[in-house]
Amino acid sequence: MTLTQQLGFISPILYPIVGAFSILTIDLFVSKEHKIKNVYPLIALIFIALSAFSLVQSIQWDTQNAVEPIYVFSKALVLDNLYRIASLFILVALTLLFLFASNYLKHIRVSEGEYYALLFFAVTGMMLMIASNDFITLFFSLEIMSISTYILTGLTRESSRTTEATMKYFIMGAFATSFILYGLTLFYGLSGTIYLHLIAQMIQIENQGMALLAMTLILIGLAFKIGAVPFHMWVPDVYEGAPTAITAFMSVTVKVAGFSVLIRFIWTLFSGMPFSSHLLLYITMATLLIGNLYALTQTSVKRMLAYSSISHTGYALIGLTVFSATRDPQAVSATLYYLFTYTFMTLGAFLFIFYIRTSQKEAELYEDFAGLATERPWSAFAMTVLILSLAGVPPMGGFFSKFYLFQNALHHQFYGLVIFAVFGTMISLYYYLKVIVMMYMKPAKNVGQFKEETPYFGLTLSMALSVLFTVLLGLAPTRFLEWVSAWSVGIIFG
Amino acid sequence: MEKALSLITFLPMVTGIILCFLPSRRIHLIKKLTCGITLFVCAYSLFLYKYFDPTKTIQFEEFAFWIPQLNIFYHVGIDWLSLLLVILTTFLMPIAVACSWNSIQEKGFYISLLFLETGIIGAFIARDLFLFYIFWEAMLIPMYLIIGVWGGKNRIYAAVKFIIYTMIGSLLMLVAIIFLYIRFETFNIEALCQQSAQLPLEVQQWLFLAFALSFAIKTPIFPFHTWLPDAHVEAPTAGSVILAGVLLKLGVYGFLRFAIPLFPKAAVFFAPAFLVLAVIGIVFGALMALNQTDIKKLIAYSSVSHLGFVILGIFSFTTAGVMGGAYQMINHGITTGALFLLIGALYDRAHKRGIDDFGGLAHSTPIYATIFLIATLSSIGLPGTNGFVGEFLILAGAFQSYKLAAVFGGLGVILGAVYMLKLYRCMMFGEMKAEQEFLTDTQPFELSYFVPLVCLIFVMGLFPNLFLENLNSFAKDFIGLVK
Repeated sequence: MTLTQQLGFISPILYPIVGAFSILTIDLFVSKEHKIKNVYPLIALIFIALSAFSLVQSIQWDTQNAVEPIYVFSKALVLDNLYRIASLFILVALTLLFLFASNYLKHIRVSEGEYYALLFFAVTGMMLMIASNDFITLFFSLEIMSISTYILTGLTRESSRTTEATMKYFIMGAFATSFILYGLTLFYGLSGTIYLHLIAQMIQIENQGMALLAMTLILIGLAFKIGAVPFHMWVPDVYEGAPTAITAFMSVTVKVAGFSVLIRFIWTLFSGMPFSSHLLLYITMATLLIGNLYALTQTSVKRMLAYSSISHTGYALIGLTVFSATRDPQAVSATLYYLFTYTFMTLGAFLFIFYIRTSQKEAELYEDFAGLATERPWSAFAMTVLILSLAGVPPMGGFFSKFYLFQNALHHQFYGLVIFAVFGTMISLYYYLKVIVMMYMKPAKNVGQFKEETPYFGLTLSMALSVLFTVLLGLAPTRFLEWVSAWSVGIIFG
Repeated sequence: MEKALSLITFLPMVTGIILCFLPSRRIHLIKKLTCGITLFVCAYSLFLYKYFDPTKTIQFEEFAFWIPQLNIFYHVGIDWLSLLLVILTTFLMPIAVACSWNSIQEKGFYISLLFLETGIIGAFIARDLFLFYIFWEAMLIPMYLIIGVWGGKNRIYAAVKFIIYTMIGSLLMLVAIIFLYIRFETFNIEALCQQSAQLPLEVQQWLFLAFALSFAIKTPIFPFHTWLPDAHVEAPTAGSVILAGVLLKLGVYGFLRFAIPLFPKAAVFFAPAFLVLAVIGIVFGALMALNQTDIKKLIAYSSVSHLGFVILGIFSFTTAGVMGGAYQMINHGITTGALFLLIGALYDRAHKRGIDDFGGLAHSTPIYATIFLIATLSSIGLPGTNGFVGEFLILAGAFQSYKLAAVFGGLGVILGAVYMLKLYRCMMFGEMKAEQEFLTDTQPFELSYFVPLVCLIFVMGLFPNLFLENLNSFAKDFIGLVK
């Protein structure tokens, strides 16, 4: 393959980079209030659209014949359907964020170029991470994603809580990445190769113990990234401290990227190893338990959503546990479907918190939402739909994705795990319904306390799209099911 | 006519969605539209009654692809039992709208009622287990909002208790449903009934318990009844009417349609336990009702008692018992619906509902007292009213299988007379209380919804075969499945 051909194949990854640099460059040369700043979202959305379009074009649907994935740059990157589908999820989340970016940026003291560029870099890192086939690419793309996200967390410098969140995320994140690095180097030492698809066959039998250690180290690092217990301690503080729009983005995309890398590792490496599914099982159960229990006592809705994110990681991990035990592609389809629904639900919920501002500040505590339904009935309705979907109430997408997951897990006879997850759902009902109680059943503290500043049109659009897709994923899942079932076409054959 | 069932199910919801876009000030228009649509749906469902063919079982079937990858289809159809329950629902809905006409002026309430109607009718007509589950859960949300936003003083506690209690039961049922799907690759009820009856007893027992828990919470069966007094008392009048009149029947319907036909061996195995619980429910409900000072709570406990009768009839697995249980379901809906309407009318005027707050109402409000008397007698089961037919059949059936249960059931009838007559005496006879001169009698507007109920009480009591005849074949088929 010539260089041009390979560049053509990775064009979905190149477009965000080009977009980032173009906006940065334009921003360098224009004055602060130049009118061209209004065009930035359009430029950004164009690049996202180009990237998404080329991803969609290249998805291989043929499930009958074995399709080889495309390797580029001396097998540093593997371009298969998993990469394409997961990248699409991430781009969708990015779109929802960019829709209201121009208005948002007018309110915060951040230069536009930085905002767009950082988000694009983060997304590039994620896409590279999902596509990476060797350790070095994996590591540096992980770092690109992580560092961009660390900076984004502290971007607005709005309070000491934000700074604390950034420091926590940075220091703990660096620590966790070092675990991954340690595990990767151990694997290199054991097998002599850095290519994911070759390692499994190169490890000698007598080194199984070391391989197990290496796997655990990598699991620790990745579990940190996706917010699984017991590596979840950063999630509530970081989600609470970061600016809400960034939290919305981060909570969704980093998880999708982390899960995709985990899927790749499990498929190529972990599922052959002893204890891998046991490890994942314990992590899943702990995550389900802690995520749901700790959310019960929160007084801040933002923190509750952070813990609910942890619990949703737990649910998605059920699919991965089943996958690592059985290598059934349906398990990953269920996980991907869950992640897709989770994208819209959680993004919408965080956007809602961002959207509702009381007269002084961002609404954060439960009490701040009291009486919302009388003043802003449509917003309350939108949040109700999202909350019910998070809780797993039919007919929303959250229910169907849970159903699909449970059905797959029960099919492989993981009865205990499903019952455990069901108990988690029962617990979660309380803290989700509390939001609805506050919005509909309690009177507002001060009349007219929800400042009627003109809501950003883009924000309304983003929220409406989140709600729409949440409902669609529950009522008409057929088309989306086809998409997530295509992931297994052309994955690395280990 | 072919899509009749879908029309009845989704028209209220579509109307509700349209109403969302109307401005809140035009509440009169909204109320009129809601009333009109619910009346239309009621009339349409009466057409179904007219065109029902007694020789076939499932009719008006509709089938559409929904999620073929998981064998989930949009499959609806009704048989006589479903038809009766659908008609009960569509009949009580306009009454619920009418009784809130003057007291609740917010459009969200009427929209919630419409969504609730869709959910309930959908649950009664679903022939696909997944579809049933969706409707079963989905109709909890409007009810939760109705109780929680427009209810009484303690409404949030009651609403949250109601929804969490019910959903916990449903989640275990979901696991059982998924298990059935994995075993038999289908959600179709008929196919599942045939195949799951072959499962070994131990497996059937667990699955039956998972289903039964959910329905036992809904019915409610002692000891899963604790949500009921709170929910009934705190709900607004229309909410109580729908809750008592229709929602409780969903639990019994679940037993009749799913839990017992899917797992007959387990049902027979657990029948004694359910009979005991039913009898405890009857007597306990009656004794608790005897002790209440809040009239609404008294009627709520009487619901527990009455539904104990229904469960007694059903789990006796005799033709008479099952017929009586199914018929008593409808009776209870009408009677308790009437009682809650009466209490609601009183509360709207006096803003209190303690037994001791009223006296001698028979003098000051004679029309009201008359209607109340008819409802009371129906609740007791006086021959001539619908309550008698149901209770008699239940006791006859129960006596055939478990004599002791029937004896206690009879005790329950007596206790029922005790608390209801006591209620009537305290309220209607005796000394008039001071503030009562200001209570107006039943207005003609209110008569518009009381009169149909009273007529039905007598029609169903004197000419029960209009409804009972086809229940006979239903009961025979049902028992054939079990034996």
